[in-house]
Order: sequence, then structure tokens, then C-alpha cells
Amino acid sequence: MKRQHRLTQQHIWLLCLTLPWLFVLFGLMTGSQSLGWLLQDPTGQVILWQVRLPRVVLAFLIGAALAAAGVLIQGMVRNPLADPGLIGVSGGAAVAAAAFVVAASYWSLPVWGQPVMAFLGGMAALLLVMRLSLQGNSLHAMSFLILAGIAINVLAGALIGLLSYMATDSALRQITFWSMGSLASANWYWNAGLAGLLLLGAVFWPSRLRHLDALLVGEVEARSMGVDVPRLQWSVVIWVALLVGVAVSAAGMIGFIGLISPHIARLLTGASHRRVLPLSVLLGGCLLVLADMISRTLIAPALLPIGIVTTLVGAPLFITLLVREKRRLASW
Amino acid sequence: MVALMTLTGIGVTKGQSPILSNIDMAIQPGELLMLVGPNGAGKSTLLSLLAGLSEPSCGTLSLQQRAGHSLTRREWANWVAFVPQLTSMGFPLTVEEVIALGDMGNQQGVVQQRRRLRQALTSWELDYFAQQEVRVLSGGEQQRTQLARSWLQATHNNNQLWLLDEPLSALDLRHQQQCMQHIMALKAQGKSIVMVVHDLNLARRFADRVALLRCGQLVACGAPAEVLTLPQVQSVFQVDVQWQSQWLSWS
Repeated sequence: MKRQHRLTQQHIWLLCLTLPWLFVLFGLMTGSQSLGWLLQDPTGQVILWQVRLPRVVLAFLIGAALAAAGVLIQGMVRNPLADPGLIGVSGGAAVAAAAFVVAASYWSLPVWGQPVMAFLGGMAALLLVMRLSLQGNSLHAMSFLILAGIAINVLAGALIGLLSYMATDSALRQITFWSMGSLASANWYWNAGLAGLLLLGAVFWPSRLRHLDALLVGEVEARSMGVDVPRLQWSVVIWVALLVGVAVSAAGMIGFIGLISPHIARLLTGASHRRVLPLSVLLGGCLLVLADMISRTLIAPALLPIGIVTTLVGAPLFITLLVREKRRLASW
Repeated sequence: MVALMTLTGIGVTKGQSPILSNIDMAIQPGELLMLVGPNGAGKSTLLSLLAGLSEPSCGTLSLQQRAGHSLTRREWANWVAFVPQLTSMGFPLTVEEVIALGDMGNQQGVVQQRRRLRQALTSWELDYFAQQEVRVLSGGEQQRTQLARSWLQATHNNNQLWLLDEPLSALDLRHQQQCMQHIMALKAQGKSIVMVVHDLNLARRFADRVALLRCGQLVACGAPAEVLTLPQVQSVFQVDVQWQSQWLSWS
């Protein structure tokens, strides 16, 4: 029989305890200067602990947050090809955050307003996409989901372009970094915020993961088994908007992590959310640390925006997935 | 006897067109009620009403003498189990994982849940497929997986009503027999079963009562011999039928 050698829950916990440290260590060792020099030199120490470490940790946390958002949204719309970037949530969050940055360059606004705006922007985009796609039969919904995502992304691109004409120089630089995805703004405030959010999720979600499994069987089936589906959908919407909102505020649009990590996780461990969610979070974190290592070394000492790295790897992979999905549907 | 579920003047409209109108019926404890009728007669709509999955446009529905709309999803699920018509699944959940969901609302120990899951796998002959992905199985095997999942929910102590929408449609002869045996076993425990079927002879043989629907109307409801008469079947299904020994047959 197929799939006997899946990762079990125990394997996943073991990986969770070991892999993050390993990847953070790799991340610290990689860069334009060698670790040996950094440890000996006083300036090096500063670079290591105040530049490299927060950056590597932020990469891990953002990867984890985006992967979690990917798992949740794929479960909710019952489509393994959904991704916060593809269906326009990141775009909505980025427009709102960019609008805030432009506004903040004219008036004095509180700093926390930016992630809040990103959250609201992401949520608005998500609700619009849901309204357009979560009706009728599922195949109908599937194509509508992608089309709605395209529409929102195109609109987001145009609005960000419009905003960049109104922006001051410093705001413009930030918006440009955002639209390509960048970890340059890494600091411990972002890290603490993201870590707190992920911990809160780790408390909130475990008891609801079986409900998501039931939803995979079908909406009618899930409801007949006692799942309050609208409430579950609202939980997903709010959490995806939160995770993507904070991730986008911190590092801009980083695509495909939310698509690839759950996909690899499902190949390794099947579809049960009790295994897929923790494993995806772990993989997402590790993958983004890896992408950051590439972005820092490929054209060193210059930095390649991390969003370009993930898209260069992710887009061809997405096309491969589409081809496989098409074959699977055709073989029915 | 106090009815398990009572429907009074139930009507459902979608847009302008009525799907069901003026349905009065009661489901008694421990009975096997079969819904029959042509395609589009409203059988599945009626079944989803009984499962509490949709709200009637007019009329009232009560379960265990409580108004249907006042019950939470969890309460419905504790009393009523439901197998809708088979839909495809895009995600690689295994047979075992899907069946185990049937015990989701069940507050019991891990050991007990494992035992019940084993029992479900064995009694629906799915042991061999336990670790397989549901989506790669044949239609009949997928159907049995969904039946076993719902059976797990229906066999729980509190559960009183098992609703099945064309459960036998994808099953081979052996598993049709097996499914009917499970249904009769649950009936013997005093639980009620309502199922949609297309095989009128099956309804004649097993049902305590048959409800005949046409165009959203309840044409007749009662003992199979009284409801499934030649003139009634001929007029509702618009087909020329006759008796061949004791079975209804079309020519």
C-alpha cells in the first residue's frame, strides 16, 4: 500500500525541537563576512547580534506565519493551490500598509497603525475574495478564487504605483522594498510581535484542527458532524489577516512560502491538519531562512530582495503543481 | 408514542420556485422510513432539512420536542447523523482519518475511540484500505468510507436518527447487503433511519413506511404496500410498471 512511511506526530515534534536551531545557526554563519571574523571583532559582534540574528529570526518567523496562513486558507477554501499572495490577501495588506506609510510621511501617526492597517487591508481583500468564490459548487468556486485573486493583485499593484507618486523619498524607498519583499527592517519588536502571534495561534488552533479536517471532507459533511462552519471560516479569515498583516508590515510581499510549505508538508505527512499545520510552520520558517541565506550571498555584498528569491523558486514550482493537479483531475 | 421529529407545514423556496411545499410528517422512534420519488422531487432537500442543514422557508420542525432553529450545530450532530450524496475530495486524507472524524464530538477516551474506529473499519470491510488516501479509491469504496464515518456517529449512544442520501447507489451487491444489515441493526437498537432510495422493491421489502414525493409535494406516506401501488407508481414516475411475481418491474 502507498504512503506507509509518513512522518508521524512524534517525528514532527522532534523536528520542531531541532530544525529551527539548526537553520538559525546556518543563517548566522552565512553572509558577506565569515562567522570567525564576526566573533573576534567588536564591530563583528555588533553585526552578528544586532543585524544578523534579528534578521535570521525574523526570516524564520515570517516564513512560519506565511505557511500557517497558507495552511488555514487552503483548508478553508478546500483548495491546495490557494496562497495568501495568489488570492490577493498580501496585496490588500500591502496597499493598506503603503497608504499608511505615505500618510505617516505627511502627518504624525502612531507606529502601530501600520500593522493594524495591513491587517484590515488583508481582511478586506480576503472577504472580497470569499464573497466572490465561496458560492455554488466547488469547481466554480475554485476558478473564481484564482480570478478574484488576480483582480485584487492587479488592483493592489496599480494602487501601490499610485501611492508611490504621492510618497516622499523615504516612504518611496520603503514601498519599493515592500513590493519586492525585504527583511532589512528586522528588529526585536517585529520578532516579539510575530512570535507572540504565533504562540497565541498555538493556543487557539489545536482544538480546532479536526474541524478543518472535517471541512476537507465537505462543508455539508462537516456541519452534519457538528462543526459550526461559518464560525470556523471567520476564525480562519481573522487569523490569516492577522498573520499576513503583520508579516507584510514587517517584510513586504513574500510570495509562495504559504503555498509551498503546506504542499511539502502534505507530501511528507498526509492531509490531517494536526500534522500538516505544525510541519508547515516549521518548513515555512526553514525555507525562508534558506531563501534569506541565498538572498544575502548570491550577489554579495549587495542584498537581493528576498521576495525575488522566493518567487524565482516558487513560481516554477507552482506551475509544476498546476500541471500535476490538471493531470490528476484529467485522470478521473 | 412521542415522535422523534415532527414537520408541520414545511415549505422551501429557492428564488421564486418552490422546492418543497406543505410537508406534514412525523418520524417515529425505531422506524425505517424511505423517501422515494422522481429526480428533482425534493428528496435531498427534505433530507437536508431533517439534518438541520437548511432552514425551511415556512412551517416548523421540531426534534425531541424542541424547535429545530433553537438547536446548536453540536446538538443536531449529537442526535442526527447524515450521509449526503458522494462528493469528491481534493486532499489526501486517509480512510482511517476520515472515518475517525465521525467520533469528533464524542467525549471519550483515546482507547475507546481507537476501539470504535477498528470496529467501523472491520464492519464496513475497510481494514485493508485504512491507510489509503480516500481520493484514489473507487466510487464504492469512497461511499463505504463516508458510510462508515457516519455510522460511527450514528452508533453513538445519544444519536437517534440516521439520514442517508442514496447510500446504495455506488455499492456492489455484497456491500448493499452489508449496508442494509447495518441499517437494520441500528433500527433494532431503537434508532430511526430515513433514507433516499431509487429501488422501489428495496423499499417494499425493508421500509416500515415509504414517503412518496413528486414536485415538492408529499403524495403519500404510509406502509409500502399502500403507497407503492401500481397506479400510484405509474402516475408519479410516468412509467409503465407491472408486477412480476412479487416485484415491481418496468417493461
